[in-house]
Amino acid sequence: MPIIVNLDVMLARRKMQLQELAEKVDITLANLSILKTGKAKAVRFSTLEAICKALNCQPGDILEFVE
Amino acid sequence: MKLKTDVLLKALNVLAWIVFFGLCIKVGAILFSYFVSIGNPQAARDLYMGLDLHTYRQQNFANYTILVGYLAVLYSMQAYVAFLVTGLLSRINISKPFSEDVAKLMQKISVNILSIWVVAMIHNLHMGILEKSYGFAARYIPGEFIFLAGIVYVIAQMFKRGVEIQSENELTV
Repeated sequence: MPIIVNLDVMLARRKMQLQELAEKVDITLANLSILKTGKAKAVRFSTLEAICKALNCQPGDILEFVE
Repeated sequence: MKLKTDVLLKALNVLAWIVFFGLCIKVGAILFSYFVSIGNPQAARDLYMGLDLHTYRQQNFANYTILVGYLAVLYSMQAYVAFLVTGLLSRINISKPFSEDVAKLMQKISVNILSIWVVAMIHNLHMGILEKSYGFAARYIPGEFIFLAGIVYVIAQMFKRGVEIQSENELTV
């Protein structure tokens, strides 16, 4: 898929576990895993906003486009 | 509301099974009466629930056999469609109605209904030829199956699209 999700990179930088992030953004661990493993078909802006707020980063830090 | 739909689905499932067994009994009865009519021509007067093909039996045994064959095939195919419907109704999950299984079954049902229409039209063609050749009063099978096949096919395509949308929704974070 052309859009890569670099969530694990940001989690490592912020020294945060996936479970902790799931609690902060109020998403189930299962859904966050779907996003992390690149299986997600779409991301809501509200979810992206919550993740960026929790990780103190920009959307571009999490989402990357490759040809 | 959900309970009402579940009860309705269960009731429809039971009804579909009753229709399936009814059609199986119909096919069996027609075939049994046919084999009896080989030795006893009078049996052709009432093959099943008043079905009278005695005139055809008297005129030409081959034509009579073909006509009974059409009816046996037709009712067998209808029984198969009823069986597919029982499978469909047992697989439907109201909380996640759009599944690949259900979409495929619906498509299968529409194809089988179309096949029933084809057999019915071949039967009607043959009946028309017999009517012209021997002056029998023809017994035609209604051709409305084609509309039913078309409607079920359209619904099957909508279900396929529903599966795609549901899958996308499930993978939307």
